[in-house]
Amino acid sequence: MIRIFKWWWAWNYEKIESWLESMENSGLRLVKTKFKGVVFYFENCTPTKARYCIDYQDKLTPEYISIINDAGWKINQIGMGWYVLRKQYEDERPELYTDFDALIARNKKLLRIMIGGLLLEFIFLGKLIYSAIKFPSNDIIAQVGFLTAFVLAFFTFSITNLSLQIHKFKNKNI
Amino acid sequence: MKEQLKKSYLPMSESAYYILLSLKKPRHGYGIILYVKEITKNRITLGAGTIYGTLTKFEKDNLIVSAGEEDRRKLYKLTDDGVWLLEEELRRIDELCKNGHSILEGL
Repeated sequence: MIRIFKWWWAWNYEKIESWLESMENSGLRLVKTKFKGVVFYFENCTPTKARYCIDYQDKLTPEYISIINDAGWKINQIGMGWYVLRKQYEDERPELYTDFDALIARNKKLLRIMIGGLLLEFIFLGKLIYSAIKFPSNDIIAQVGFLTAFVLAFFTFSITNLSLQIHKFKNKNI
Repeated sequence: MKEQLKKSYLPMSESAYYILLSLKKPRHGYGIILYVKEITKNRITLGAGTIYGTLTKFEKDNLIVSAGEEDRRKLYKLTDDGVWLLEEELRRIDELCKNGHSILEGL
């Protein structure tokens, strides 16, 4: 079994999809993922044409599973609502999403989660500023402050990218 | 309420239109994919993610409702609101067609 570490962002999932597809095309099939989908495990296989799709579902319902399986996809769980789906194909490369409306709806859901996270972060930040004023000599405040800045940057980065992608899809829709 | 539906759904995407149209009779998700493929002579193959996402949204907006189960798969069918919305969309498409034909062929 071969183990590869690869970092990716939610709005950049197409990169991972085509990477997995090219891996299988060269004789390495995805077996499982670990650590929320940044460590990939492969085994040797005969080179096959297979489409990989990364999907996000906040709840994995029986309806979703049955439609996915009926249409010939196999589900592999990544964690935190993310899934990698695989379908073998011959001629036409299959798609999980064939219109942008469903993709936009999916991205908006992700965006809401991110904005929720950002709001929590602001509450945390407010408390931190309060403590900094009250106990100015406390060393730990500097460290937590640094971490908070990092988390804030992460949320800002994520939200901007997700919004840009929604915008891109909307333009394609018209 | 109905005007709100019109505002958010019209004009419809081809996928949305065909998914709704398929539910004149009770069908499950994969049944819709097969049916749309059949009536469009293989032109449209709807993706499973699109079907699931669209059905969830339609059900929330009460355009479709559950119509029991078949082989442990949930069946859906149109509601009166769903039929009404389809008729509104059809009226719009008819106008498109009529104008297109009369202007192009009138040249």
